[in-house]
Amino acid sequence: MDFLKGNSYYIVAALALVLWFLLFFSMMAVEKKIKKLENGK
Amino acid sequence: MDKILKYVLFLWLSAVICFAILAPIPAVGAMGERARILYFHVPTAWISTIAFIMALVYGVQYIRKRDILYDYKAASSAALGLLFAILATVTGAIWAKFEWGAFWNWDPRQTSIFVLILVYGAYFALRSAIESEEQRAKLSSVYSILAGVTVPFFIFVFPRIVESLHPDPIVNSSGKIKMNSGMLTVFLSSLAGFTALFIWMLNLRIRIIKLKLKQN
Repeated sequence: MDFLKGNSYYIVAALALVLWFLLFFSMMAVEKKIKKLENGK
Repeated sequence: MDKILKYVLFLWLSAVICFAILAPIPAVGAMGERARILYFHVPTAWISTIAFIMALVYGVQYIRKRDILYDYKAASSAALGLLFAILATVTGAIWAKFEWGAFWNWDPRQTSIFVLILVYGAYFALRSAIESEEQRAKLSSVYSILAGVTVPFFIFVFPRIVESLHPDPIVNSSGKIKMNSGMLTVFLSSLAGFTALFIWMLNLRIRIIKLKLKQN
């Protein structure tokens, strides 16, 4: 029994990319906020 | 420059995700398509090992220098290690369901990572139980050193001395890597990408702690 069949590969890839985008941009937002605080703003 | 590197990491891991899920994969023994899990499962286990060892190193540094920042660095590293250990356990359990028929089988690998999760869970229980900052730093540094010493045993020794259903480690006992070159490229890229992501995460946590310490 395999977990993925046919088009479900594309769905899983899209979901994984969405999760990665969310993680990346939220980390970028945290980074921006930290930089502001470090510069005393 | 710093920002460019982050966007390189973004593109790098996006490509890894696409190749890992969509690129054709050669038949790996009886595993077939299920072998794709190694692109995510092994890097998460690898990161948890690095993070726990780093917690040990920071623990030693605290004991030597008595600088509270090292204690917070050890805690941050252990927290990320715990997160990645849980991710490795979850991805491994999903794979086990389709390969072995059940999410949990008390295989030596599953047992050893479960014990490590408990060990580091206890580390955070210990930290939250002590109010005095200095006392907490002292005790938890000693604990992180003791816990860190057990990591190589649970990750590299115990699963190899007990009979296990788990596939051969990437670098097997004869010191060879049995992997198709295409798969190996995606795998090593994933490993590098996850390592960079971990370094970034740890850096963010440490900078937040430094800001908090500065405020106090």
